[in-house]
Amino acid sequence: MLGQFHLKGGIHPAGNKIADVSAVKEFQILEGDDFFIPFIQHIGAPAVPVINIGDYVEKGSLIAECGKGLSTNIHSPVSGVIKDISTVFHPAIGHIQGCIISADGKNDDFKKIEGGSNLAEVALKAGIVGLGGAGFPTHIKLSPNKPVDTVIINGAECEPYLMCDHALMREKGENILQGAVMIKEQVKASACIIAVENNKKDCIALLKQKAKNYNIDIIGLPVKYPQGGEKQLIYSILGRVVPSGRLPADIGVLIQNVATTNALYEAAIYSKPLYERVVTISGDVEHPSNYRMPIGVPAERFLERSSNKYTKGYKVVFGGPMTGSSVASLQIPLIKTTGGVLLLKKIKKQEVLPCIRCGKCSQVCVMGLVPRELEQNFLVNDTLKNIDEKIMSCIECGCCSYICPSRRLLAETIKAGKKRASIYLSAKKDSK
Amino acid sequence: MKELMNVTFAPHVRSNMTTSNIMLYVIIALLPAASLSIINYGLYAFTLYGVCILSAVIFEHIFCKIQGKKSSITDLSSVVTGILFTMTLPPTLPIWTAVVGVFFAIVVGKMVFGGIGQNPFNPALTGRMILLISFPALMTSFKSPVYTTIDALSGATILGNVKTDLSTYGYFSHYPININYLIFTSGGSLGEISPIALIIGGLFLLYKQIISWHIPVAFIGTVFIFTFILNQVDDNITISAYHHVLSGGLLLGAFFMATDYSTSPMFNTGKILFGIGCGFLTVAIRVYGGYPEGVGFAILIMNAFVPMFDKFFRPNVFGDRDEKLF
Repeated sequence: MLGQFHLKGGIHPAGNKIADVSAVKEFQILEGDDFFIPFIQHIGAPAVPVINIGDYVEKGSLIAECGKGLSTNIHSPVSGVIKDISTVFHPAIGHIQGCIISADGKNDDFKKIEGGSNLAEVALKAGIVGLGGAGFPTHIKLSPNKPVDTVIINGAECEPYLMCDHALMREKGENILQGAVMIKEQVKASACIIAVENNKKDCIALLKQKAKNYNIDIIGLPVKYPQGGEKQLIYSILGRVVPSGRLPADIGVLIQNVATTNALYEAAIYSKPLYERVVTISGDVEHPSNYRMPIGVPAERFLERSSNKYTKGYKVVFGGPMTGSSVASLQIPLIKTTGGVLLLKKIKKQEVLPCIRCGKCSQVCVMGLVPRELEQNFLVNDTLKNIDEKIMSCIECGCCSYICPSRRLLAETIKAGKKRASIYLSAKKDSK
Repeated sequence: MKELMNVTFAPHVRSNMTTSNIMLYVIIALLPAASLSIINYGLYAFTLYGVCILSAVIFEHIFCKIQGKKSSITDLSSVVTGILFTMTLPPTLPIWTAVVGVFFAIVVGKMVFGGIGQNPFNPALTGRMILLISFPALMTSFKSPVYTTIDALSGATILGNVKTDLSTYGYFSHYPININYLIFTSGGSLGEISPIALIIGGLFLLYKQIISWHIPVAFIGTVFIFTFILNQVDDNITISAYHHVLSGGLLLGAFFMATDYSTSPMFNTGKILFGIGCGFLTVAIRVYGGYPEGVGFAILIMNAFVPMFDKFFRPNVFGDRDEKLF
């Protein structure tokens, strides 16, 4: 049976799904608003700017085109004038090249993208990336070099607080279903599955009702974090295991997020480039809700226009609380992969205590690793041992740090350890 | 300049289970058995508990101060060790002996190895065994409890009685299987008085996911099956499996001592093998050894194998076995 495979490990953090999903609110753009567009909003090489300072750009016109290798296009979220091309903030990387657009306040229709004979080309033209958080350029995923038999549309949204996919599925259920069919046809798959966690019963019912016209399975999954992780989702649904160091395409599966699917549909049918997305504002705020956000809006303005206030001492997180990046300043803009902005209350500083060997970190690890040993190896600089213990399999879900009763910084240390290990491994590859 | 916020790595939320919470839950789980022993043995038992807990905390604090470290008593693990240690003592033990035992439990059993999480042997059992070997007479002088469901035993426990009978007469008298035995045993060490209280405490820990079922089930199961077979083969070898499971320190050991995080394997296969090993050694010592009770020794011996279990029985890395397919 589909969706009946038991996922080992995982945690059950408090869901805190408090944002209002009844409607996706529109973000209001005023004249003179500055938009900060970093040229990296995806995994891979930066996009190359095609505009100059002083140029007038329409909403949806291309401002940076796909760079060499893994990269994609970036479009203007607003009509206005290019104020500057310099360095701007990126929530995870820091200062990188980008441009600042000053909005003229007009609310025109977006400029349509042209051409694109198949869905992969449309995805590149529209600058679509994985909107689940990783930001992998979608056109690469849509042209797999191996046969794909199953397409999985990921609507699990297992992160606490985030509800952007939930709101989108309620609003654009039909688009998602049709987008799923397009993806299925593009990669010539035989099956298509939309997976939703059981805490979104309304979405499951809605999609099931609409899916009658399409040959698509809607599957409700047990609520568990990280149910929505790529490898975990495939295992939960199909019982197939993605081997270490391989991609889902290697076992004939393609995964797309629901928001990406919707963006693909809109790009194919309305020729709409990806310049906006649904973002959840939640956490310890007055009005947790979902907004359709143009990219490039600084967090401060988002808070202000959604009538929420920043309280001194709160932590601001872009993305979910388990994998998102906390930002240093409210001037940092939202990018394509930002699914949520969370304000989290300051928690009492907790001391890091010695490991008590409870083994909970390896009980919750969905990849079957032993986080406590990976951490110890890192602390004594033993990169080789870490590679032996498969540190590169870590999916950085953060379960180990979440569960650790001694509050050890396991996931944090393992991320650093992975960096060292990957430097070593690439040097080893070169020397061969 | 605008205000800057503290930047940390993900995850930004944590579970509310902390080391001190875990220890607090263990203390709560021990309360039923501890209070029943106080009811049964009176004020002196209460004094023993108090003195042991207090001296455990003080020894740990002093040791940390001598090392120039921050005191680690707030994690409450020394309180747990204090209670568990007291539960293994006979109800008549002089206070000074108990304090000596606590010293060995906390300082020699735990702190010299580097404190919590570093000790290879269960501290409470280390303390008890050093006392048992050093002061055998004091450690085996038991007292009849106020409430008991078994009448007129010459020794403290059924196990002790059987051992004495066997060495004196070459045979032992049989005991009927009595359901009341679940509620109160015939006595013995402080914590062994009520099997049902220990089971309730153990189930509470299982429910709170502080311990997993692997060690207690493997441990108690092995003792049950092993003694059941022995008893079936020849009922003059040993008493019934029912009495083996409920007598002595088996439940206390299986739920609270063999599951001690620092001194038990971390992974499930290792846990089960560890439990089976403890069970076999317990029965071997009880039936064929010189001591009437073997739980303590069995756990300590198996503690020595824990690093080996952790090394050889690791969890499977997801997708690792399928790597060869490509």
